Amino acid sequence: MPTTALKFAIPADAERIICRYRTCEFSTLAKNGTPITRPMGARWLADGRFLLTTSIGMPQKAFHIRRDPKVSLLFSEPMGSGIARPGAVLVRGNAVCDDRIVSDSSSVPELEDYLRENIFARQPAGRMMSSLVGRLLAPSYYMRLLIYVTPVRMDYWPDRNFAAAPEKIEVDRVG
Amino acid sequence: MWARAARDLAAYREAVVNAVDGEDYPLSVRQTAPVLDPATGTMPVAIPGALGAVAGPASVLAHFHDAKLWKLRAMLIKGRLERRGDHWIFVATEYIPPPGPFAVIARARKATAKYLATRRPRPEVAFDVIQRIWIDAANVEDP
Repeated sequence: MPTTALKFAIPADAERIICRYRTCEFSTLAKNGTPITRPMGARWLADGRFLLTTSIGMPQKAFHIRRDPKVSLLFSEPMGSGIARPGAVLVRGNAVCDDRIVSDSSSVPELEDYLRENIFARQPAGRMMSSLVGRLLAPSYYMRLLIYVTPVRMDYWPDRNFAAAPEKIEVDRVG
Repeated sequence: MWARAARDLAAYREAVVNAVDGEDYPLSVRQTAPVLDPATGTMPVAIPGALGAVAGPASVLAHFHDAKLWKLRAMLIKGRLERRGDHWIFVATEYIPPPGPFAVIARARKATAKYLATRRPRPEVAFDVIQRIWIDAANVEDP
């Protein structure tokens, strides 16, 4: 949980949604402005930024971010989270994705945390990607590009009435 | 023209409509019981005014994973958001059905080769680290 170092307040239920939902719907902008959205795992860091990663075998979102840093993350799929009263959180922000391929996951502490807690512990069947078959089929799966998102605006639905106006969470400068 | 997109979308109980706000940030709102008209490619969507969505490029994502983050599937319809009276309408402009697993692997291998084409030395994955993280992950309580 990142709240100890956060510079803005967030409802406890909204924090649970961000930290426990297995995926968010992550949008980047294509060259023609179309939002291209994919389900991805995201980790909320202690400084308020979000960490996501992509394999160099699927680099399109990285290319999008390098051209236009504006992105959004919607945490709205409660499957597997164990949250009894699911709602949703929308995060809009600015992303960076350096052209640095991380192939040693221990070289970036928050990446190791992300893999251990957000991906591996939640997706046990994913271990096949590091098996001999997985390495042969997708040798670049663990060659990761890191995406850091600094939020500029957050909105929170306390329940699943998405047609209702969400509560705005005041976001101070983070990162 | 949009029969395949409508049929594929019908396999999902919910979807997410993605648009852009007045400051050019993307935004998303979950939709329940999404229905795409197979003849016109249109779908009414609910987007609270407080989010500041504007007419323009848009998309619809539907995806699924089980409680163990497996059985992954997803589809994306590209289009635009239009204001008609007091309502928002999503209008499809492009739908490419999701590729099968072998096509995904082939594309990833091609993209990888392109990404690494000018890089020497080629990165080597530290699989010993990956295996250690997998062992540590088994001890994560209440993930």
